[in-house]
Amino acid sequence: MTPLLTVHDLTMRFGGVTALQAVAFTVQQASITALIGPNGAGKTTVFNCVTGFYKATTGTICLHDPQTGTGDIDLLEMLGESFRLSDFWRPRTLSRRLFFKLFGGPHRVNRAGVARTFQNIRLFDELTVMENLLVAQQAQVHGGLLAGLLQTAHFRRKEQEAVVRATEWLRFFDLLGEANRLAGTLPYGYQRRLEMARALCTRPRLLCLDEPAAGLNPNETQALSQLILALRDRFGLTVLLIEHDMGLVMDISDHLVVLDHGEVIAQGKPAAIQQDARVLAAYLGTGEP
Amino acid sequence: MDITIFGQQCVNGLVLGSTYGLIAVGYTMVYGIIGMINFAHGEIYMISAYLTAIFLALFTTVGIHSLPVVLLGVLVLTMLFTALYGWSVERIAYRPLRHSNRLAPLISAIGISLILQNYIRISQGARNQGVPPVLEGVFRLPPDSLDHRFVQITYLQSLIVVVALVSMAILTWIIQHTALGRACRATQQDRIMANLLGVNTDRIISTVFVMGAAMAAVAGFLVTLNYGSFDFYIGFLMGIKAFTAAVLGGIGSLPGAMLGGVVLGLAESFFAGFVNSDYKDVFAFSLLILFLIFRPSGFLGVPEVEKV
Repeated sequence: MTPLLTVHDLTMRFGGVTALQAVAFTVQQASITALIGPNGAGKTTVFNCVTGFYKATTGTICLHDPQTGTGDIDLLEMLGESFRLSDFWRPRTLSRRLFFKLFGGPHRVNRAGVARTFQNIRLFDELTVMENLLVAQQAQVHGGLLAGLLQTAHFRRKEQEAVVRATEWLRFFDLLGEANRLAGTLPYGYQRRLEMARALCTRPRLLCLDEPAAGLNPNETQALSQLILALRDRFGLTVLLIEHDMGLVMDISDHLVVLDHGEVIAQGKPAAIQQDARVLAAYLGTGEP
Repeated sequence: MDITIFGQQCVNGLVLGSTYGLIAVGYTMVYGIIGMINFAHGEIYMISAYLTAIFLALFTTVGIHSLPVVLLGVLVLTMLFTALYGWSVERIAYRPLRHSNRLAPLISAIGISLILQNYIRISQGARNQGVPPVLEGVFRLPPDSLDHRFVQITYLQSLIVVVALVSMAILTWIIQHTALGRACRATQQDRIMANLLGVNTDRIISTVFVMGAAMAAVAGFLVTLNYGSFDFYIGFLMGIKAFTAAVLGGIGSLPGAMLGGVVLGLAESFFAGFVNSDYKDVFAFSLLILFLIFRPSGFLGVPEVEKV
């Protein structure tokens, strides 16, 4: 087992509120890890920090390169951290910070290999299904103004590849017939699947799903769990998911991380978590002492 | 009502409206993507007029006299350099304020437009500048009219309408059919989501400013050739007029900007031709006020749903 993502000492404060307190966990390569916990435990905040949507207050979020085992990517650095006094006698650190201050942002986190979906669907409603998937591949197409204007051969080939990849994911999610509909006009269940397809089009190594089963009926949830398992088994993808449907979570996940009040209270295999006293207390409440 | 005067005002209005439309595109695209009014856009147009004159002089000095080469060369160079100004304005005045409240970039816009005006006033002088006529000649309709009953269209006027239509068509094509345009539309709908999908939204916003400035440069080039004279202050009035056109068409809508420009141009020329030419600006701005009160979403804009 090799780790793909290591979160260490992650703390997130909003003014005086500490949403996350020294959260630490690892996600193994080609595994399904579920993040669970009662409402307000900070699950989505962890997601937002990992995907670059929020800039964490302190801590490290590290994406490992499985091919070489070295060359870890610091996802927090990419968002542009503020300068520290010690940087001024370390020119390398200083120049890296300056670079990410100027050119950093969530798009770099995505390009490093982290993609996500949202709990409340955020598709581009006024774009067609196909266009939604093509936008996600913008970084790979390199669509500069001049290349697009002149329709260079290189640009056309890249664009063609993007369409092929989009078509493959549409087929996987059984959306091929809807390719030319506006995303906003799709039924809810389709929109959920399209959002996953769009995240996958960015060619992530880590796919973060925020409540993928929310609002789905039992049959759809069953189909979804098959899809997520297929992502792991057929494509070797690593999935990190937040989910309230405990049936789904216990069925498919290899590893569970339980959060409560912004702290990790337990982690381990599903069977072990189901027996954990602190987890039961967090979910069901404690009795009289 | 004299039919030839009516026809003549139609022609004048269409020509004026095309230039309004070209500038309005810059307002509407920037509003669409970051929801702010770029009040420095008029100054970008003013700078393009100066650049046109500078490049015309340059071509003459070098000794290139072939008219199509000069016109095309000056147009391309003006667009490039004006685009550079547009890019710099965004980079210096707006990007650092991206995450502050909505008023900050507005004040910054007013500041940058004062800076640009005075930069031109100091570097180029406050006096009226001009370019010699480069393209002369007229069409007359009907061609063999002996009295004064004819509609006159200069070659330049027809050039203005044609160039404006062609550049609008190219811009629409870019937005609708290229990867860049797709990213622009995605960024317009949900900037954060586009960013999370690996789109460098800062670069997309810069590109929008560049495209807006290039369109303003087309207008500056055409108007300078047509009227021949300009000063450092022309950007203000033209900017407000083009803003009016963008509001009329529905701000945020690309075809709306062109439609609004033509409607405003026609309305203004008919007012000048049949009512009073001294009050044509008053009339144009009355239209702006009426639209802002009664139909703020313009002709083609979608009324904003009040989110509670």
